[in-house]
Parts: sequence; structure tokens; C-alpha cells
Amino acid sequence: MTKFTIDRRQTLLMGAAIAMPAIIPSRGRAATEALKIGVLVPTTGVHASDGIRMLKAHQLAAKMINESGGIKSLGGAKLELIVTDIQSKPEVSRAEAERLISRERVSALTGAWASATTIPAAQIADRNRTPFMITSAVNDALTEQGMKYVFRTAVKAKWFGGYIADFLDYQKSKGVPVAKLALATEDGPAGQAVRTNYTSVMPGRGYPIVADETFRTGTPDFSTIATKLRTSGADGLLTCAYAEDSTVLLRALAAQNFRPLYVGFGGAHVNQTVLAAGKPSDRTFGVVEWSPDLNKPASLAFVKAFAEAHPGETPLSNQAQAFVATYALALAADAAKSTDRNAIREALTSLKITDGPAAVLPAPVLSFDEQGQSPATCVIVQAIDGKFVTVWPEAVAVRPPAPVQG
Amino acid sequence: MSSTIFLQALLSGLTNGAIYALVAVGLTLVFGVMRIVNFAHGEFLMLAMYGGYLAFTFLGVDPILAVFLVAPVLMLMGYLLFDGLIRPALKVPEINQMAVTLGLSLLLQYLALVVFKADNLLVTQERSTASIWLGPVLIQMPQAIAALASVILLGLFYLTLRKTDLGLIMRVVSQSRDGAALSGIDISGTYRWAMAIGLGTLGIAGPLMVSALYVNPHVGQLFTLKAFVIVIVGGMGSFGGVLIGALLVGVAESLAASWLTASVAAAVPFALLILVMLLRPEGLVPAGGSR
Amino acid sequence: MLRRFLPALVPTLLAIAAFCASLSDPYFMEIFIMVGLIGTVAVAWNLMAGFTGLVSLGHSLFFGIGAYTVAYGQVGFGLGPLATWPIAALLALASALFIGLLCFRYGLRGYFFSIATLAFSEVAFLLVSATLWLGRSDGMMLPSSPDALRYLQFDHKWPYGLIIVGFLALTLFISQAVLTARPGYYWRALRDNEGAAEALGVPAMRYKLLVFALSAVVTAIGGAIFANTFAFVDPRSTLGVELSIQLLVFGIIGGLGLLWGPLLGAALLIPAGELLRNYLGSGFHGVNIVAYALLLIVLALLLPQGLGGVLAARLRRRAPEKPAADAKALAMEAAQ
Repeated sequence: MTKFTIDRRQTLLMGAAIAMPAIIPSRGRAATEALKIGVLVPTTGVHASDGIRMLKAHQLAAKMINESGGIKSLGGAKLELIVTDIQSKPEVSRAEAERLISRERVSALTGAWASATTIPAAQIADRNRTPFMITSAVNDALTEQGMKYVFRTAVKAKWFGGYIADFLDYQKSKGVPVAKLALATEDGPAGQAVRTNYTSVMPGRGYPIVADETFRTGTPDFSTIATKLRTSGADGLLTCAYAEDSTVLLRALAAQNFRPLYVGFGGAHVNQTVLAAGKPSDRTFGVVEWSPDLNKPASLAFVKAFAEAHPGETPLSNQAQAFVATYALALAADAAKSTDRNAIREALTSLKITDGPAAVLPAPVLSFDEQGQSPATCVIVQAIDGKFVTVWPEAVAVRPPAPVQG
Repeated sequence: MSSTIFLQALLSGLTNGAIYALVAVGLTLVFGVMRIVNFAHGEFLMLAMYGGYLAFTFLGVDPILAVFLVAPVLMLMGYLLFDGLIRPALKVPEINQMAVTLGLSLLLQYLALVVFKADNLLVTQERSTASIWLGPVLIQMPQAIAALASVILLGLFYLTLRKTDLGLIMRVVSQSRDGAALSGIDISGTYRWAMAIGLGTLGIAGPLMVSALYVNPHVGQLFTLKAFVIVIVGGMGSFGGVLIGALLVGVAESLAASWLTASVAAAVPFALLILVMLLRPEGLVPAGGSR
Repeated sequence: MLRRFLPALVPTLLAIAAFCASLSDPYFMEIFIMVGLIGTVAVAWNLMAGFTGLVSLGHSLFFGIGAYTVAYGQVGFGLGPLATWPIAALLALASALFIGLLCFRYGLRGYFFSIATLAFSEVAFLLVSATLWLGRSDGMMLPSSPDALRYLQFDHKWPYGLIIVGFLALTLFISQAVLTARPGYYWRALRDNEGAAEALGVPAMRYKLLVFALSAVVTAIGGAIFANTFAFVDPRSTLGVELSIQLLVFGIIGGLGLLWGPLLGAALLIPAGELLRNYLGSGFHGVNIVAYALLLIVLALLLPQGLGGVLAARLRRRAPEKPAADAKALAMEAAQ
């Protein structure tokens, strides 16, 4: 039998527990003039593998900046990253953004990986007038709702259809046309944003969609979906899936000897896991914001520096974005000659990066419009002999596309 | 929907169902004998999948043969788990038991994250993309092997429970713990074996499933809830029920996915569970005897 | 009278103190908000789990009903909290009665009840994830409005903290009132031995439905406050099984036998999680959760009465014997 009595001494102890947030010792402000940037990355939870990778790129950028003399206009101030784990959860992302802004007094924030974890953090940053440099979230609304402190190095989801249509036009001009498209997208925020975009863009560009399949991430069996895709009569297949689902889908397609022109989406496709699926992933394309073999000096330098810092590893597109995002914030602080949030925001709006170590992404110039969106672009890569190779656009391509039937 | 797609969905559903049964049978054994629900069941599957991956990658052992390496390891884990955690857990209230196995599930997932990192790991072989065609429809080879193993395993289980002393003892214990203790049966010993065998079945499932799918620290979660659904739909502690429940869940899910959007289809197994609990709370094939 | 409400009054006063202490820093206020909000919902959950023996693993369903009613009410119809909160409470009430009627009619108990409630919340989670006008798995943002006060949109955090203090106080006082009246004794009788209680004339169905309804309504209001506070709802945070499990964990750690036990659990674990994340998280991915899981296992095994129970027992032993107010409670329990 439990009794529900309580006396004053008990209540005091309990009060100490409830009041505990108030007595956590706060870490004192660093005495140095370091530029503090908060990095929100999911290092645990479902997006952990992506988050851990992104973190390496953020850290590499900080290391390179500091080794080359820090923020020059601030008397060589060091760039200090305040890293936090957002556990792949929107509410944690939000709370951590709040903490970095109010307690760690960061000058700017970056990261947050997926759209679902980025949206709440971006809202907090905007409300607290702190610049937020989005690394990889593609949700259109982020740079369309008039948030003044939100900037993005990534492209918008709604632009992808255009890139793919351009690429298919290019293929047609080379005598390898695609007549009908099928879609297979995961039933989450990323997949559905991409699916909406593809269904609205592709038919208007002369590529009718004859099958439109969705699946939940973690689906253990794709044979029914593969059958539907195969029997739809499509000769091109556009997908958006996490890497683990891609491997299961690709194997299911291969088991049915169905080899359409396959275009996977983003860093989730252009990924070691997908290559590890072996033959089924060979000759598949991926539309992606960056590729390590990109024919651009700063990009090649970044890959080299990354390989030195992490032997045996090749960076992925989202890592390049994380690297650039960190660099852009540092350059903005340098231009602003200040660690003040508003000054950095002002500097970001007039920033124009065309060369130097931050000119890693394929677009010729990195700048941010009044909505904070950069004129980012994409490349098409293809898995050839166990490696992803940039094959389009021609200006940065390493080689022309190989035939789909290897 | 064309007949090809219907047939394919049906066949895939049956294959998946058989694989689900392979995962759920251990859960139902543990529940049937000990009346404890192990929320960390999927995490032991995840460990077994890593086992299969490691055996293939570092020892070059085919996943089919890796079963004979991994299953004993999982049995040993079950044996140790019983004395380390489950035996003390049997002394605390049911809700604390839930907290213990939920904690264990978190613990194993994040230990795996620390040890193996978050990357998805694959077993890639010649037969990864092979398939068996049955007219217009097909089964992929790794899935077919896992489904076949499931049928064999369930057959063995049936024989063990019906024809051996151990099976008899387990049935007795699951029907009446006190009665069994009075007749001189070693309850703890029986529990220990139930736990060892229950996890041992995952040692069979793991290597076969990693060759059909992939492994990461969170992969077990995909199967834990589904295994619960199957165990309850089939009738807690009933082995015939596991197979029927699993096939039903597999087919319902697969047919629903071919008609509806993916998230709605994913709700179908839970809707099925609610229906069964309300219309036939003892499950489709109740375990023999009363509680 | 005062003594009867001490277990509600004291935590309320402490919450007010914690609220005042958190005013200095938005980050503390954020933690206070999470502790107060989830802690209060855990108290409501515990009316079922700890006091009636009905362990729901589907309480996120009611939380999600509250959160999505507010979000959709504002986005779809421009309704403010004055309209959406009562609607949320009514919807939660209706769903609790529906689920309760179905489950109790067939006498689902123990694990079966837990998993049935889990199944209902998973169905809701998946259906909302698939429903376009509820934002699918993207979730819904509550747009800023010029009429900020009507939609409870504040520039600062403290007004939300204040709302949560009120929510916490109201929940504690109502719960304590009910627990120290007939329903409370009937619930405990049903928990300890349903058959015996029924034989003595406790209408099991009616009282189980009562506790389910009360618990669900409070949880839905918690979800509604969540939506208004964070201006963003998504299926994973408001309807996911993780939330339901969190309630169970707070209850176990804090103590299921005490009104304020789950609140204590939340007040210990949420800040502890923050500390672990801040000091361990970035270097060792996952190590913080390993520590958390170990703590949960050890406490669940070694302290079935929870930290609150230990605390209460220790202090009761040291304090002079007195509780006259308990005599009535004991008499009631003895009568059963």
C-alpha cells in the first residue's frame, strides 16, 4: 500500500530536483576572441551515419581556417565549433539551437541535416536573430517564408526535376532517349518533396510518368514494387530513398532483370552503401549537389585535405556542403570584421565567393539572395566500375555517361 | 491491379510472412514459457545480423553456414541474459520488466552504434540478385532461403515440443508454473533454456536476413513491433499461431502496399492486431491449456 | 484540507520556484518547459499505470490529438487556443472512451492492454504520416500571426513557462482530489485485485473508463500546449512511440506509487540527458544513451518503487510519526 503523505523535508529535496535546471553551472564565456559557430548534427539516431560524416567536414573546415591564420580581420581569431548532437529528432534540434544561441552565445549556427530537423532549428535562429547556415535540407519553404537570418548552401527540392529533365534532354541529344518515367520514393519528408517536384515538372518536359510508387523506409521486400515498375513500361526510373532502401530496391530490380535508366537522389544514393550492393548499382545515375571528382581546383583540394585528415575516406556531397557552410560563415565574419550576429548576417547577404578554398560546389559563384538562398546547382554522377564519376554537365564532367546496359 | 501484380504481392507477402515467423517464434517461446515480453528481441536480431556480416566479411563464411556459428553464440547470450537480467526481472512488477527490456533495447542499439558505427553494412554475393521464377512472378533467392529456413525451424519446434522431454517440460511450465514446480520441475532451468532457444532462433534468422537486407544499429526496431503483432495475432505462446499470424500479417501488409500509399499500408498490421484483440483476444490459434 | 493537498501543493510551489529561477536564461526556460510539460503528462499517465494498473504504451495518441487539433485548427480554420483546446479535450475524451470500451469489454490486461494501446497510437502515427492536409511526415508549422495574443504567440519563452506552471498545478490538484476521494480508492483496489474489487461492488468498467478519460484529456491538453509553445508539430515527436516510452521511463525512475513520482523522474532525467549530451555527446556518439539505458535497467531492477519511493520512505522513517490525515485513507483501504 502506498501512502500519499509528504512532509516538508521531502518536498525540499524534491524541489531541488525540479529546480535542477536552474542550478546547472553555466560554462563561462571564453576569454578569447574566438568566433563561435554552433554545429547541429545528428550523431545518434536514424541519421547518425550522415551526421557523423557531416561533422568531419565541419571540423576539417575549422581546422583549415585556423591553420591558415584564423579570421584575419579579427586579429587571427580562432574559429571554434560548438558541436551538439540533435539525435535525429526535431524537438532536440530545436532545443539545442536554443541552447547554443542563449548559453553558448554562438555567432552563427549551421547544420541540422534533414528538413524535419532543420525547420524547427531555423525558426529558432530566425526568432533570435542569429544567422543559420543550412547545410543539406532541401525543403522549399526554408528560403521562401521570409526568414531573414536563414541561409542555405543546398539547392531547393523543386529545382531537381529541372536538372534531371536537362540531363535527359542531353542524353536524347546523344542518341539515348528515355520515353516514359517511373517514380519510386520513400514516404517521408524528403521523398515526398522530391516526388511532388518530379510529378509537376517531368510531364511538362515531355517525360510522362507511368508509375508512381511510394514505400516506407525499412521496407524489407521490394519485389512487388519492382514488378509494378517493370510492368509499367517505363524505361527511366527516378527514385528518392535512403541508402539502405536503395540497396534492397536495386537488388529487387536486378533480380527481375529490369535495368532502366536509374537516377537516384542526392547523397543518400551517391554513397558507399549503394556501391556495396555490387552489380545492381553499377551504371545507375545520381543527381547530387557535389561529387568528389568534380573538375574544380578548390574541390580537388578539399578532397585531398579530407583524405589526409581521414585516411581511406572520400567525402560525399553533404560533406562538401557542410565544409562550404562553415567556410562561408567564417568568410562572412571576416568581411564583417565582427563576431556580431547582425554584422555577420549583413556580410552574408553581400558575400560573393568565386575562388579560394570555399569555392567547392559546382555553381560558379556562391552568394545568397534576399531570401538566403544560394544559386546552387547539381551534377549527375554515374556508378562506373565501383566508383561514382561525374558525367554531366559537360563543363565539370570527368567523362561522358556510360551505356546503362553494362 | 493486374493479376501479375496481385500474384506477386501475394507471393511476396507469404515469403515475408515466413521471414517474420522466423523472427517472432523466439519471442512467442519466451512469452509462452516465462510470461515476459522482451522489447529487446529485435536488438538481438540486429546482433545476429552483425554476426552474419562479420562471419561473411572476415571469415568468408557463407551466411547459410554462418547460421551454425551465430546461433550458438546467440544461445549463449540468451543463457547469460537469463541469469544476468531476466531472472532478477521476474521478481519485479510487470511494468518494471517492460522498463528493463526497453532499457536493454536502447543499450544494445547504442552499444552497437559505438562499436560498429552507424553505417549500413551489406553482404553481397552472386546469389544476392538471383531469383526463382514461378510463372510470371518470382522470389528473390536470399528471401527464399530465409523463408525455407523458417519453415524447417518451425517444423523442428513442433517436433521438439510434442516429442521430447524438454518440450513437454516447457509446455507444462507454460501452462502452470506452480504445478510444474510442485511436480519437481526445475523452473529456472526451464526458463534458462527457453531464453537460450528463443534467442538462438534469432541466430538462425540474423545471417539469413542480413544477406537479404543490410544491417545497421537500428535495424532490429523494424522487426520488434511487427513480431509483437504477429505473436498476439497468432495467440501468445502458440507455435502454429506464429506461422499463421506471420503469414497473415505478411500478406495483409503486402496486398495493402500494392493498393494504398505506403504509410497507410504500414498501419494495416496494427489495425489487424486491434481487430484480433477485440474479436478474439486469445489469438487465432490459442496456445493449449489455460493460463 | 491543506494536508490533503500537500502532495499537489508542494510540487506546485517548487515548480513556481523553478520557473522563477529559469527566468534568467532562455535555455533553462526551455528545459523547464519540457520538464513541466512532459512531467505533467507523465503524472496523468501514471494515474492509469501506477494507480490503476493500466499501463498504456499509446499515450502519444492523445498527445498527438491535442497537438494536431491546435495545429490544424489554426492552419485550417484560424482557430485559437480558446476553441482548439476544448476541442482537443473532447476528441481525446471520445477516443479514450472508444478505446477503453473496446479494451475493457474484453478484459485486456497487463501486456495485452499495453500493446493494444500501442497499436492504436501506431495506427494514428502512420495515418497522420500519410495525410496530406496534416502535413504528412513533414509536420505542420503554425504560421506567425499579427494577432499574436489570440494564438498564444509570444516573443519570449516565459509566458509558455507560466502556462505550463498552471497546467501542472491544475493537473496535480485535480489528480490529488480524485485520488483522495472514492475513485482513487477504487482505482487502487482495481489495481491490486480486480476480481476481489468487483466482488466487493466496485464497478470496474466505469472506474477504468474514468481514469482513462481523465488521463487522456490531460495528455491532450499537454499536446495542445506543446503545439502552441513550439509552433511546430510532426508525427514523430507528437505521435511516436518514443514519447509513450518516455512517460513509462519517467514513471519508473520517479516512482509509480506517488502522485509526483513521474514529475520527479522528468525533473531528473531531462536535465541529466541535457548534461550528458553537452558533456559526453559530441565526442562519443551514443555513449550518453548507453549511460541512460544502464541507469534505467539498474533502477527498474533494484528500486521498483523508484527514486521518489525511496526518498519518501527514507524521510517518512526519519520524520516523526504523525499523518492523521492518512487515517481516513488507511481506513478506506482497509475497508477493501
